[in-house]
Parts: sequence; C-alpha cells; structure tokens
Amino acid sequence: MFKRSEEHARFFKELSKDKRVFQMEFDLWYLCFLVGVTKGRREGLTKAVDMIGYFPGRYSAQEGVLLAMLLRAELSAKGVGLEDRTAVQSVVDHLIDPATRPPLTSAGFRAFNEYAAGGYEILREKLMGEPPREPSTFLVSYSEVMNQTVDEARY
Amino acid sequence: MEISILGWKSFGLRCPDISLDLAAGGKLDSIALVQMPNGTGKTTTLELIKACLDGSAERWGRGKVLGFQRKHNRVHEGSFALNIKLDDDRLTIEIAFDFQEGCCGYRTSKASEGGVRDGWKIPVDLRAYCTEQFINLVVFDGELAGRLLDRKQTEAEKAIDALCDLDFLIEGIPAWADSLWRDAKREGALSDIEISRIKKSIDEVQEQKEKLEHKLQTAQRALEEGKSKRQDLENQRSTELEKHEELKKNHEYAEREHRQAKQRLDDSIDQLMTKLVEPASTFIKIGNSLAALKEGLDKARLPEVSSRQFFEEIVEQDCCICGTPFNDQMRGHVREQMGQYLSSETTSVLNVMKDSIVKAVSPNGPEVVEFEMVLSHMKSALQDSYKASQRASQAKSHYSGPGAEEMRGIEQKIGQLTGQIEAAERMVEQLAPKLQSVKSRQDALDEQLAEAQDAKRLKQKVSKLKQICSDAVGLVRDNVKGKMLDDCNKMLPLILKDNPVQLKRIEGAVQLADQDNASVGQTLAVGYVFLARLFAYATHNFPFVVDSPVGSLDNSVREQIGRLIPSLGRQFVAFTISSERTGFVPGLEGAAGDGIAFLTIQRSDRDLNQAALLWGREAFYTFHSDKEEGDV
Repeated sequence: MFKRSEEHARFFKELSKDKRVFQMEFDLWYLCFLVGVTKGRREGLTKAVDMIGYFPGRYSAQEGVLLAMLLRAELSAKGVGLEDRTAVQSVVDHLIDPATRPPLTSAGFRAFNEYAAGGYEILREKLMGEPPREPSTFLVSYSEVMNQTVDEARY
Repeated sequence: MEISILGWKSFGLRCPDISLDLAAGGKLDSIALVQMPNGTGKTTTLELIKACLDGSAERWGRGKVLGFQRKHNRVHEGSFALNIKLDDDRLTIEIAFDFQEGCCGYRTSKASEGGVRDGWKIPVDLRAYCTEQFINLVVFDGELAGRLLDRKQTEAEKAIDALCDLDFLIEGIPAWADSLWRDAKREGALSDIEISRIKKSIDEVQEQKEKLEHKLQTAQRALEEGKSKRQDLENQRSTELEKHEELKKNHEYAEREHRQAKQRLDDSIDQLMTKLVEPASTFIKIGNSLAALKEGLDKARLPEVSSRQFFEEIVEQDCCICGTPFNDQMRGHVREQMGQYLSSETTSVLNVMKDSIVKAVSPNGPEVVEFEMVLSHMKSALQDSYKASQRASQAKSHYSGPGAEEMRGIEQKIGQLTGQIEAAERMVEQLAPKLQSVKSRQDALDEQLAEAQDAKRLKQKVSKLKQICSDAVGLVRDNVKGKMLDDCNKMLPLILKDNPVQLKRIEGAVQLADQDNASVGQTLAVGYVFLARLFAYATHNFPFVVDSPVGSLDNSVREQIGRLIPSLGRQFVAFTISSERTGFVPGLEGAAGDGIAFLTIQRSDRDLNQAALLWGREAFYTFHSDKEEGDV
C-alpha cells in the first residue's frame, strides 16, 4: 500500500484543493518520491495514512521506470555493484514480488513510501516550512529543487 | 422420612471397641438410655456420631485425627460406623482412620443400593439438613435446652436459621454479591466522586461543543451570505455593464485577457506535470543512470533465464548461436517456439523494467531541453497571468466614463466580500476538525459515564439483593417464630399440666410470658418442647441424641423432664452417667412404660480397649462405676 504521513497531508492541503492540477493524492506523493529517490533520501513514516495500492492513472505506464529508479536507489544505498549478481538478485528479491500487482513486497512498498517521505522533507526544507498555496508557484519552486537534486545526484 | 439411630461400631479408637445394635432385641425402642461412665468414650462417641451425620470429618486436620487414636496398644487404623434407619432402608456411614498418615475418610453403604462407596454419600433429600448447624440440634448436650431460653444467647433464633437453612440467605448470597462488586471495582468501577467528575467534564465539553457549533454556524452563515451577496453584486455588475457599452467593452477585454493568460498558465502547468511524470525522458542524468542499470543487469545476465529479448536478439542475427545461418522460416519457427523457454515471473518483472527503460530513454538523449523550455514557458505564463490579473483589477478600479462610479463601487464591494468569504472559508476549515474532536471526546466521556453508572447500578443491585436476602430472612424467621409460638403454646399445657407456662416471644432466645418466675424445670421443658416443635417443621423426622439430658438438675426437675421426653414424638437416645438415673429415669419410665432400651457400657476388665456392653434395666440400675478419669 502506498502511504503518506498526516503531516504531508496538512502541508499540501491548499494545493490538493486544486483538483484541476492535482487530481489525485498520488500526484503530490509522486512529486515527493521523485525528489527523494533521486536524492537517495529515505525517512521513516510517522502517523501514516493509506492512499492507494497500485500506480494509478498516468503512473501505471511508468511502473517499470519507477521500479527501476527504486532498484537503482536501493542498490546505491546498499553499496551493491551491478557486477555482484548474487547481491543484486538479493536486493531484487527483497523488493519485488512477481505474484502481486504492483509487483512489490512489503519492503518494496515501504521503500517507496520512505523515499516519498524523504522527498517531502527536502521540499519542506526548501520551502522554509511554508505550506504552498498556488500550484503554479509551487511547481516553479519544485522544478528548481528537482533540477538541483538531479545535478547533485551521484550516479 | 423417619430417621432413627440403629447403632454404631467402633474399633481402634480412644473409645473402647464396641459393636452396638439398638435393635438387637428385635425391636427398636423409641427411647434408648446409654449409660457410660466417665472415661468410657461418651464424648468421643457423640462427636463421631455427629461427624457421621454432618460430614465434618472431611475437614479434620492431622492433629484432630491423631487425637482419636488409642493411648495404649495403638493400632495404625481405626473406624467408627454409624448405622441409621431411613424409613425401611438402612444407611451406614463409616469414618476410616489412618493414623500413620494422619488422615481419615468416609465410606457409605446403603442397603437398597448394595456395595460400599467411598465418600460421605448422604441421600440428596437429606443433605440440606446434614449441616453442622442443624446436626447440632440433633446431637446436643442437655444444656442446649436451657440455652434456648438464655436471653444472653441467640440459640433459639440460630435453631430456626438452621432448620430453614437460612445461612444461604444470611451468608451465601450476600458474600457472592459482594465478590461481584469487588471484582467490578477491581475492573475500574467508579465511586460517586468519579461519576461527578465525569459529569462535570461532560458539561464542560458540552459547553465547548456548543461554542464551537455556534462559531461554525456563524462562519457558515457568513460564507453563504457572502457568496450570495457576491453573486448579487456580480449580477449587478453585469446589469450595470449592459447599460454602459464602453465600460462593458473594457471590462470584457480585461477579463478575456486574464482568462487567456490563466489558460496559458494552466496549459504550461499540465505540460510540466506531464514531463515530471516521465522522469527518465525528462532528466538526462536519471535516464542515463537507468540505462546504466539496464546495461549492468544485462551484463550480469539478470534475469538468469532466457527472456523474449534474448530470442529476439538471436533471430535478428545472420546465424544462430550454433552457427547455422538463419532463414525466414527458421526465424518464424524460433519465434513460435520461444514461448516454451520464457522466464519465470520474477524474470518477467525485470524484463518489463528493462523494456520500460529502453522505451523511456530516447536514443537521441532525454528531452531535458524541452523540460527547461516548458518550465520557462510556465514561468512566463505565470508572470503573464499575474499581470493580466493585475490589469483586470486595475481596470475594475479605474473605470471611467458613465457608470464608472457605480462599477468601482460594485468592484470594491466584490473585493471586500471575496476577502470575507475567504476568511469565512478558512474559519470553517479550522473549526470543523476541532468540532469533530470535541464530539469524539464527548462520546468517550458518555461511554465512561455509562460504564461508571453501570457499576453504580451494580452496587445498587448488590445492596438491593442483600436487602432482599435480609428481608427474606426476617420474613422466614417471623413466619416460623409465629407458628412456633402458637404450636408451643398449644403443647405446653398438655405437657406441663401442673405448671403450665406460655411463650411470649422468640427474639434471639425463647422468652416466657412470666420468665422471672419460671422454674428451672419449666425452662428446660420449654426448651425441649421448642426443639420438638421446631423439628416438626422439618421434612424428615430426626432423632434426638442427647448427652446428659438432665445433668446437674435436681430430682424434681429431672422427673419433669423424664416425663416430657416420650411426648416429643421422636427417637430419643440419651447418654447418661449413673448419677443422672435418679428422678429422670423413673419420670421417663412413668411416661414411656417399657418402651425404653437400657444399655450400660464400660471398659472391659480384661482389655481396656474393649467395651463391655450390658443390656437391661437391672444392669442399668445396679451399675455403680463412676470413674473420674476425665471424659474421653
């Protein structure tokens, strides 16, 4: 299950009212995940609330890419080189459950949620703790953060 | 049921061994006088008869059991068996002693059922009476009759309680109810103070809730009114605009410009979001890292088992891996057959992942330039939208020409209302969750109060139950006392013809109408009559087994008592010493005739552990041995 914290919900409360831009809760959660998984920052989830159990809407087509981003981040976090086939297979088995849709173990879901929580923390810090109110101004700030995060990423 | 003592057997105990059959002569006399001098086991025998009837030996400890062992020539085992007649059936209750282990146990046999059963197996319909309290009224010493009239004691009332088994109402049910209350208290039942505290909290929370509800209603009303007024003003504005062509044109132009700028902004936002949803193609570094991941997985030959990609790559070659040149037919065959060799599910997930990467990462590199363009376009659209909004606001506040004044006024009001509406919306948003929280707290307190009140109701019920039991005891006692008074007062003149007395009341003890002037004999007679009448209420007819029925009374009184006994209407087994013969036995014989069994028991000269049993009146009267060795 994809989850977000109550604090995340409170922070993005004004933004989420604009259903034209952010049609689903998942939209803002995804933006946080993107930042978190690119930075490689995971944070524990406190007072988590269930959102959805699959990649909804336009995100379902990106499932493979998002799984790959998660795998890449986890391999990097665990210091596993791609040449170490056994270790890579172990990380894959830890995150992937082919019998489920999406093919994620509970550890896989937890990793997704914690990278999203990490991304939320980064955004909150960058926005000085001030909850965003306008989607357009937020997305401008977000894009700057994302660009910076990608630039700083050590791949 | 008619219950009579038939006899007893004793072996290996501190009282001499004996086998006594009160019906040995072929008939069971209603009166049996058992003369046992001091030291021949009278007290022990009575104690054991009582234990057979009330089952109390089950609770004897080691010390008590060993106390029944012989002082000389000790044996390891002993027994005492009481034979009882129950209408036409016979019951034997035996207490078996194991002096090595220091314990004892019962064995019961019933003639109608055959066999011997371990345990104290009194018939079910007798059990209610075979309690220690009641049996104390069956097997008693002669002083009980006097104690029934002793104002300092409550023996008469206790006797009624025992007969009616009121102990269940006096002790049993109240104790059980108290234990329920104690358990409830342990589980958190609350006192009145706690209930008051909860009620006070409920009142405070209710007040809080009402205030919040009032605020919320006010905010909601303000919001509705604000929206309604704004709508009216907007309608008014439209109407005004219709009146003034120039104004309308300027207004529409500003609004259109603003709308268009907003639309451009919305479009650029959508484009940006679309880019962000495709990160591999949007950010070059992400795309490259995923491509590297895919390459690494390929090199590591992960997944292990062949994938569709593997076969596709093979058939694209000129030759098969075995070296055979491919033709189209062979390629078709491979594609048809490759399904048999495709991978497990995990493998397919990895392959889907790799396929996604391939599709997402454009061969010409990620569309990062396009992302920057979209972002730049969005920033520009944002600025434009802001400016257009500003211009629209300015246009509204700088209306000129006819109708401008009115329009400016309307726009100003709309602006103010919009501010108020937004404030009201924020207020509603803040208050709604607070109100919900207060309502939840109120529900929790209501539940707490209900639990506490349930506990209080439990306490009230416990008190009520105890009161009912107490009232029931009172009613039963009053009922029985009333009947006893009537019965005794009817019987007494028949028995004490020369010195009749009447009962006044039964309060704790039996009280005579003229107690201060009642003689010892009268008092004792009343006691026996009371017991006899009391036993008449019992379902079954129990015997009296009395130790020293006349004890230290003088001869005239003894004679009175002696004459009284046969009229009690039940088996009377009296244990006497020789000094009680005078007065009592003649009085008894005078009333009972020859319906008396005379027995004399003493320790055998040859073996002190054996009893010598002498039957008959002569032996009874001529026996002189009153050895003062102390009761055994």
